[in-house]
Amino acid sequence: MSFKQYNPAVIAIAANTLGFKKSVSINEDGSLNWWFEKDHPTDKQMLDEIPNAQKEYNEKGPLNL
Amino acid sequence: MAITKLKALGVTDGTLTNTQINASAAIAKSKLGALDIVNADVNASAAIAGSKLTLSNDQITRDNLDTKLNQLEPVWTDMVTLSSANHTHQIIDEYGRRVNAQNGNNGPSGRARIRGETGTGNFRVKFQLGTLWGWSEIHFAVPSNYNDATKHNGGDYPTYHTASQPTGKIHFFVANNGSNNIRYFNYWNGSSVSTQSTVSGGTSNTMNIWRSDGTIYWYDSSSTHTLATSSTDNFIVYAGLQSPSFVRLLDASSYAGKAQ
Repeated sequence: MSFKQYNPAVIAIAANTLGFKKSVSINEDGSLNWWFEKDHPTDKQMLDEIPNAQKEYNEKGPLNL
Repeated sequence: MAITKLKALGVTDGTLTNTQINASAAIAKSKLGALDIVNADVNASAAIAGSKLTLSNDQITRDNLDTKLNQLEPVWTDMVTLSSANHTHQIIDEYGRRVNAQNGNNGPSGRARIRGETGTGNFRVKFQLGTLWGWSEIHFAVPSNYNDATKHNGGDYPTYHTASQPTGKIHFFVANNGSNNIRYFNYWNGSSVSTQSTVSGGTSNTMNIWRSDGTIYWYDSSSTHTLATSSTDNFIVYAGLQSPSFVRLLDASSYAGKAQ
């Protein structure tokens, strides 16, 4: 599954909402890089959350923690 | 028949051969016809004066430069912006010593490289990495695996490596952050990740990466790791920034033949 079409800042908001507070990024092949963490949201959970995250991003911009 | 004595009658045209000219004969250039000297006629050890050469810019390659002209200098250069960063974002600050992207999680960011190259001998880079949500990274890539922002028109990864695991080429980096709260290094030897170590606890304390007599070390601010031995590669050094993060350069030098 590729997440390349999404803004990385939106990905960060979605992950944070799903309880993942650590670094997440998009690999060159479009997959999500959870780095060394084994407990993280699934791709399906992320896809479901992205519309809400996009709305939050549009209103507030990148997450500042 | 060898000529032993010339008489008044002279020499018939076409009878003198090369062997009949004395080895020490100083034949004036004006007595020679149009010369057609080609590259192969010039002795390999000929010391041709620089004033006799006219080189175009594209003939001056990295390998032809004196390594001193291209040694590391403690300043960031070749900056590019990423992730929707624009003119309102400052990526290089602290008078050229820090690359910085603190614009929210995965927000606007950039990249830059350290001016110069390590050379093939001893070098040293002393730096601090941000301990923030995003990864603060310092990378070392061989020039053939480096995507030069000044030579390529954008692309996905300018001022960055072309491949993170290039076949047959060395690439290594150190990264640090506060959200995973770790610091680690990763050394790709051209065919596999030969060494990787994760150290618990992100830190913005001073770190060093240096090469001394072919061995590359990383001081992670509490202990020293050996990344490689018998290393002779020339590296370009650059920063990767995942907002929020930073890399502060404290010093950098490449000085073959001197202990670092």
